[in-house]
Amino acid sequence: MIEKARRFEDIQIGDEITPLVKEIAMARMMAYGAATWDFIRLHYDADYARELGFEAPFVDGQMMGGFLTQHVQDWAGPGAFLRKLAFRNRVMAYPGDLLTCHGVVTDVSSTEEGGMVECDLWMENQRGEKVVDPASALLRFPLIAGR
Amino acid sequence: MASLLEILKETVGQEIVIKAPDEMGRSSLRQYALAIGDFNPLYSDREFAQAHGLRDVMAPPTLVCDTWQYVNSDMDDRGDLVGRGPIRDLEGLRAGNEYEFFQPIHPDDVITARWTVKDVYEKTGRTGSLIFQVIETSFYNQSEELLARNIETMFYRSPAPGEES
Repeated sequence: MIEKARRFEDIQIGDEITPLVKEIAMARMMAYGAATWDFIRLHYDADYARELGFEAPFVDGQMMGGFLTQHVQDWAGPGAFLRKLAFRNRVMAYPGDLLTCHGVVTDVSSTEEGGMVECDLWMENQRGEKVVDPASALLRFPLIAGR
Repeated sequence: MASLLEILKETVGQEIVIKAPDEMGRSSLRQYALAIGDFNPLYSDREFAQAHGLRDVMAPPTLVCDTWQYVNSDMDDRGDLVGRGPIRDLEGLRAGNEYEFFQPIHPDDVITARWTVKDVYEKTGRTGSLIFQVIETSFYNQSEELLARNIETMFYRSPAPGEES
């Protein structure tokens, strides 16, 4: 659920980004393929995935970027603009997995562009494996006028 | 016969430019948000978006970097849209992405994507040899404003099935 606007002036290094839990379902994986015009069968066709040596259809790695965006944007609120997002995929995610996005603020600075907040992010599955690690985001917040 | 590494090395420096046949559209934004399960009103509620300084709803930021909607073609047996040139013709797996977003993308934006292969290199680890391919894609709108950039790293096992083709 989206939180109300967070004030840049209230953010400190070490603040936790509110965790976000995402449940992976095959229907959502198919929806993601359709939404991105990416019909690669590896992400929904079990027989095809096994033929190619995978245990099951797996989540499109870029879907993690969508989850991480939701994670940081929900925490930052609608006034913040995501400037950068980077992530490394480590472990594949499959239908039935429960992924939790975690994050912590690592830097806060006022610039001409606005109030910039950097975060370290990572994502774990229900077995505690790091599915995405490392990851990072840079958010831009409006500065209060006159300060 | 060329090795997979040689085939991929030949892609370095290649550029493909693809212009979308139409606008991003409103429902594309909602469809992507639905797939993620992200019901942020910035993506669907114009009044809410305008109340937060946007001229219209914005696309979920990563949408432009992952969608193929700007490619106007059929799909092949793998479910892959054809016509993207040699850059993405082989089966690769994703190592990671680095996105940079320069401004919000709106439903009336017509996207032009510029794909360039920046680097191909091989790394040998305990599980064997992997080939990495670094691709940079920049996205522009109809006013040639830079919207976003995506640097993605794909990897291929060496030797891989693609080596025989």
